[in-house]
Amino acid sequence: MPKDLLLVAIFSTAYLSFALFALSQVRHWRVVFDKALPTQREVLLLRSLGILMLSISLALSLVRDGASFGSLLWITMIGVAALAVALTLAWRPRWLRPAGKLFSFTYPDTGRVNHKMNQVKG
Amino acid sequence: MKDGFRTRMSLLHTWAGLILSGLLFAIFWTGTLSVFDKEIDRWMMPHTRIHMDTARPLSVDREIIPLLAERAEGAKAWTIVLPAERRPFLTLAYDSAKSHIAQRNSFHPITLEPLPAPNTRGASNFIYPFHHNLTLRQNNIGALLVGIASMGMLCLLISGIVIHRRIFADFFTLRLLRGFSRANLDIHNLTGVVLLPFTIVITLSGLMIAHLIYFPKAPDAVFAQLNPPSVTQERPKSKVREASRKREQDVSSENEDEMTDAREGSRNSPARSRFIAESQGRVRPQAIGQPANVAAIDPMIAATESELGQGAVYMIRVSNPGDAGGVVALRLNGDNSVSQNIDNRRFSTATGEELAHFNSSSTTNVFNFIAGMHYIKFKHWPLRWLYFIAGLGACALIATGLLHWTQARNQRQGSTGFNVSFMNAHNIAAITGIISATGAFLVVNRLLNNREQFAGISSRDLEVYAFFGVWLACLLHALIRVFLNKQHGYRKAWAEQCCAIALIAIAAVGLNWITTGDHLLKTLFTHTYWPVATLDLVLVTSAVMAIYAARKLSVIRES
Amino acid sequence: MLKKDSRLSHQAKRGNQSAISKWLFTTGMLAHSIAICLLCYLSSGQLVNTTGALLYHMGMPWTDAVVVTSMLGFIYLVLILLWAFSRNGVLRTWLNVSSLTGFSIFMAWIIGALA
Repeated sequence: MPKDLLLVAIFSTAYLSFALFALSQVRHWRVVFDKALPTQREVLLLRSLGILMLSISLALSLVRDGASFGSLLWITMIGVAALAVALTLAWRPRWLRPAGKLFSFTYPDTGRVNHKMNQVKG
Repeated sequence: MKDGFRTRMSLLHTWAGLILSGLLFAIFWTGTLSVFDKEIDRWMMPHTRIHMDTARPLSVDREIIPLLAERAEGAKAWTIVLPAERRPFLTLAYDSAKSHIAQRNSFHPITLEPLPAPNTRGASNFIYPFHHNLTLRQNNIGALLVGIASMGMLCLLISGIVIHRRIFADFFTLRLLRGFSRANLDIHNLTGVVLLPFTIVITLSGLMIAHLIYFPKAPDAVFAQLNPPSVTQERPKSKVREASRKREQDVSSENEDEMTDAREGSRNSPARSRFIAESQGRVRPQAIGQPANVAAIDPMIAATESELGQGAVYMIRVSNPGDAGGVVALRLNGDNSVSQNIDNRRFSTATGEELAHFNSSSTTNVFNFIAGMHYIKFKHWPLRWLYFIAGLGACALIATGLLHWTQARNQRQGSTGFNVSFMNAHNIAAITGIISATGAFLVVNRLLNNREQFAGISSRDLEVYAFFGVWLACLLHALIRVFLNKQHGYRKAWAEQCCAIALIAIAAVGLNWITTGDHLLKTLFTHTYWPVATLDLVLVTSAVMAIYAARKLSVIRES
Repeated sequence: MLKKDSRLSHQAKRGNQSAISKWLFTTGMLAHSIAICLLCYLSSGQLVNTTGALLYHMGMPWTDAVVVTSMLGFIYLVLILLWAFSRNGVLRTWLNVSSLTGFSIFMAWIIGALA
């Protein structure tokens, strides 16, 4: 059972990390937040959080399966997670709002999460 | 200079892509299927759809040796492959005094009843070999073509990264609603960048596995350094711990050793033979000529497993069973390690005492790790599925690349030159063609239902003919459609072949139900059997995707 | 190989070029590419033999040396191929690749690994 939970956790942290990386880019930031442009601080924070999440994902993989299997699992998992984030942005960008909310919670000065979401530019 | 470099890399990427992508798609497609080759085998050989949950470990001496004694009188070698999760039957391979051609038979893992002959190559003996040698084994020509394609893939990957201008800015960009060309290129870039670690490692490891085919003179060149003709004193030999090293090779009949067999097929230099013997511990022990009884093998297995863990032994190879010089080699499974484990434990057949066994050097272990990353013989289902998904992504990478070049020219006015028409037909044959062929392979297997032969041709061969026949038919269909209407014919061909794929996939699922009674409700819920259920589900999903694609293709007029 | 707007690329683009010269150009390019690939492969083979012998003389067991040098060989080959096809013009490509081939054969001969 814990192995399955760890697997879900590994994927979730990887997905979250790529979501944060995506949000740090202007084109994808706009999809979730009110403000048109993120400040440099917000970009830095988003990317640092992303790196942190990615490291947690790696650590969890190594814990679950050891050095050799763990690293293979992580490398393949992050590829699939990145693909998943790209697909989310393409089809249901709104699903990334929770990631935005999480970030706003940690960094309250962010613009409010955009609830209207009428025009989602590609 | 930088821009000139980029232009030249762009040319390299385009031309290597156009020439090699068809072959590369075939390699990556069959490779991706080979990830689950044993599960496809279960589907294609219904007699092997055996549940292993109630199986208990077999006793070699009490249960297996009697089977051999009655079948393999006077055999030079026995091979016993113990049942495992992904191979739920006992396999015995042996020759006999009457005929020295090795026979291989399967037995039920619990009742030890002989299983009926499979009469099919299955995925393990067709799709997987196709992946690494295109079934063209003469003089390794198929493997060489695969090698050329793989080197091309490496060049394509690196040149692709060089010419991709905004790797980070476009990292997550996927504009699926902007029209075909934009969506296509975005998918190409996305899969290319995100799956780069996977594709590089897979391609390099695949090449390295067959290094004896691609750099055949390396052992000779280095071996010549050991005994240079000008020096009278002999240089110190290598530090390999193999005590009973011999110069003959081990003729193994296992699937896993097919690669080595392919290499060994053209082995004719002593340096090469010694290299294989010394680095991999493959030796064929000689018979002494003194008859002796076969000692108990179970204690040998118990001793090995007490050291290495329960279930560590997966294969037992007994050389020269009735001879005093016979050797029992226990091969260790690689369920829990990425490395392709080639270590073994060896015992004397006659006395049961332990002999010097083979431990590979750390360099060979690194090589085995790299090989293991490609062979994926380990037991780790999430990782296996991730490899499958990444493999499909790589197939998408290759397909979208081809479509990018071709569609750009299709959209130009008056672009009906020979080159574009050729590539249009080529793309269809390369992509939907081989997918249909694979489906046909499965359908014909169920139609023949494992009988031995039909109309005078063996079923094993008929299935292969169906594969290549349907592939050829798809090519002809594509050629006819494209050259009848150079402007828009290709679209009809794509749509029609997508429909064909859907029909073939549904037919496969239906035929599985009709011929074996294993329909999805049964294999998913009542008598759960995941290998067959998953393949049926994948077939249904493919059919749905193919129908969706066919409808989209017949609706779009301009993109 | 083809700089933008070079004489060769202009000839390739011009639609009023005769079919024979287009065919000749294509065949020529194909033969050139195949020949360069073969020379790159030959060079990498010689470099593999050389490094193998070197590694053995540096103390590695000979089977390990074979394994390491073969693995390195694929890295050599991809780098050589990329380098060869990024040279500026057909002439320069041939000069560079022939020099590399000659150099690699020479190194293999010196170390006694010309197999």
